[in-house]
Amino acid sequence: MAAGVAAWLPFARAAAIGWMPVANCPMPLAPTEKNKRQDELIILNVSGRRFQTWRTTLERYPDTLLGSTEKEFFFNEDTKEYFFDRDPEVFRCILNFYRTGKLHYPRYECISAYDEELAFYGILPEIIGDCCYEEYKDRKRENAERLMDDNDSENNQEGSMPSLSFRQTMWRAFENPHTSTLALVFYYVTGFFIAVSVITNVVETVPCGTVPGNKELPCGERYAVAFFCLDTACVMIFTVEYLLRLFAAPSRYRFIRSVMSIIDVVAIMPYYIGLVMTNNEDVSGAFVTLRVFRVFRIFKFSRHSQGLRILGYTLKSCASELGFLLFSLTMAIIIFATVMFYAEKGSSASKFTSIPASFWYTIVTMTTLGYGDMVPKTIAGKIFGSICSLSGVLVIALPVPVIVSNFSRIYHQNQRADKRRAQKKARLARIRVAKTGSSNAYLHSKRNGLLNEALELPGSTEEEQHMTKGTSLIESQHHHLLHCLEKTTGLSYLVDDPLLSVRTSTIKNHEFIDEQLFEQNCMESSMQNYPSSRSPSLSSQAGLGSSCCSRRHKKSAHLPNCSVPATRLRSMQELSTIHIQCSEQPSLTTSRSSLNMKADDGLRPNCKGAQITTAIISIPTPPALTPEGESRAGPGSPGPATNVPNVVKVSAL
Amino acid sequence: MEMATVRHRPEALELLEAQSKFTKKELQILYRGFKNFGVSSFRECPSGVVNEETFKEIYSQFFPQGDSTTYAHFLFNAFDTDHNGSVSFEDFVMGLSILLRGTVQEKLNWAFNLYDINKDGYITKEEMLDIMKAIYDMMGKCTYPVLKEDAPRQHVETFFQKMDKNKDGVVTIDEFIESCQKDENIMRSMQLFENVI
Repeated sequence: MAAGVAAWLPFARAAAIGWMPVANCPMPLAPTEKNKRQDELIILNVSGRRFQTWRTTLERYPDTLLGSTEKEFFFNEDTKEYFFDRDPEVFRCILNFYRTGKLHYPRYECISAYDEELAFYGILPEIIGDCCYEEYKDRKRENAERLMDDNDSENNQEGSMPSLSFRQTMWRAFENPHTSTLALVFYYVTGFFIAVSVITNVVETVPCGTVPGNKELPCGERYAVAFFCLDTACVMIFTVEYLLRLFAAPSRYRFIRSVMSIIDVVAIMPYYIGLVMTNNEDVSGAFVTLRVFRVFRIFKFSRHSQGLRILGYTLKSCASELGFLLFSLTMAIIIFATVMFYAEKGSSASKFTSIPASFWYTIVTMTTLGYGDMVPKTIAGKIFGSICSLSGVLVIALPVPVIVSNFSRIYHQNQRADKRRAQKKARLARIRVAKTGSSNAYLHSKRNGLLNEALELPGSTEEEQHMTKGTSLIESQHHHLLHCLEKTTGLSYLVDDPLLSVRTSTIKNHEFIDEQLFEQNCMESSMQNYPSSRSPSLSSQAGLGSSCCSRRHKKSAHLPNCSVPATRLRSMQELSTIHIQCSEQPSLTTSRSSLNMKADDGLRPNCKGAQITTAIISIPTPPALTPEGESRAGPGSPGPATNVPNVVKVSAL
Repeated sequence: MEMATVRHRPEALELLEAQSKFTKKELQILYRGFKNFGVSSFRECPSGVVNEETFKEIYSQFFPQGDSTTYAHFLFNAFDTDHNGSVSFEDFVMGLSILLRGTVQEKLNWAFNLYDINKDGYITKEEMLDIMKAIYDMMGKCTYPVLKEDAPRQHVETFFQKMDKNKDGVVTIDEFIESCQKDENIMRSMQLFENVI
């Protein structure tokens, strides 16, 4: 419950008196405060700084460390204060949370230190107030990214990984050449051959001196054999490399689809196609075209150069800006080409023969190239031409900064990652040196001593024992309030959980449901009662609620006083639910099931005698229940005379 | 709904102690809780008094499944004795004093006042029906057994059968007190919240 609201619980309970005259059934007993504590000031000593607050302030949030009995672990008997050896700055925020109900995140705090403190005090970070939540989340995300980066780089760089398969080692060697010398050698060899191949392609076309016959030949044709051998060698290396990568790839399908592998394939294909094809005149044209693709080998360098990769990645991430650039350029080109065409139509011998022909002029002008092969001659043409070149500058200049900033961001990110990695190495090295100092052992022993001392701090008092047994007082009071409401109306809250379903009705008022329905329900509930797993819990939990319970459990007398059978039925269910709840976890949430789970001392008046064993039998009586009838708590009398078919249920005890 | 002065200071502690049946310490505890809530947690509620909206919100925190606004409205009117649209600390304390420390007579009087919506000294069936519906609304939809349409009405009938001695269709304060005093259950449940503070 919210902070301030808990303070109003006494008011809500007092107001419940308004239901009393209307209720037809007796109310359950209120949970008593065993030790009614006057509200007292608690001193919290956090690393020397003393904070003081009311006990009830802390108890507003009973599922945190300070609000529950967990803080007793930190109680210092000598100074009668709670000592926490934690950060006092952050504690200020935490204490303010109890006071105001809002948790704030101070900007100057380190995010992980803050998280640790929150975890220590058992506070969920999600309840940080709106004012500070965004900042908190941003910082947290940054931190997480940094951690992830670090983890990644750690994984990549730690040499001593436990036995990887041969395939995995190969893949790692390919991806990161610094892992072993062999990888490095491989890396440089392929790099060399890529360079050789590219240079070969270039030099092939250079005219290489004349041959007798007065014909200028390109080197490729003059030294055809040599070039062919070089080409073969390169392609062999590339093929081997590609096949090795294919073999080592963890996911072959994904590898085949990746950009780098496509480049690899495209780079070596022309050679094989050339081998296969005959030296046919027809297809040699096509063959020549294919050789163009050999230039793609230069892209293989991107494996070797990070900058190239970044550039490629930037272009990919700026796809939308590039698309916009292209689109707006296209629009402008079409407009201006049309205009220029019609403007120059009049002049004679104009080069602007058609609109598509004007495209070339427009593009050259907009990008401020201005080759001068097409020039407007009319005045209108010149005017529009100048407008065209001016607007070209603008249109191109607009998306470019976006692309540039993207590139810059990604580039710097990469720089930072590299920097971090470099720093980390140095840092770890220094830490290792410092650690091997002799102070290590001393610190250890000192820490152990403190721990022992802390463990000797006194334990629980009687009241704390009571508190640890079940729900907090506020929760039990709240439940009692809801229970009163149920009794007033004669209805009960529906419990969601099928296991702990308490779907029996509290029949006080026969107008509400007819008997058959009731029987049915009782049957159902009795079925649920059967699982005997509940009995051990019933017997083991002696402390909760009332000592009556354990006594009842042992009695086998048949109980009759079922003037309030339904209550008993429900309460027995409640007992079992209570016990189960406690054995699992003393959860303090007001879930539906817990609504019915109350330390139901309401049975006390009805079990004055020890022989009343509620939990054994309940006979559904009907309702001719007047309030007087219900208060009958006679010991041992047999079931009331009713004309309802007696359904005797034996609970699983 | 006028907000009183911007900062409403309650009566002196001694005065309240004399007027109500609480001790100084109890009043201190009550005030701390009251002030904390009336201050900044809810929108334009000025410190020192609680208006009906806030009151309804507070009360609905305790009954999450159902709709407690109607009943909170009636409750608010019962607490707001001077009918000025806001519950000051004095109203709050006086109300609680009756409920928690008052005699049975006083408590029954308070309950009668709660049921008597128009404060004319008579509880009619319609008034009772409104109250009853408001109470049932608080339970919400997910109840077992499922709420029948005429359940509140039936409940009202039972109530009138019990309380209305001369069968004239209204319940006066005397009939009410007399009938309640005869009913052991009611008497016992009146003592239920003695030690709430």
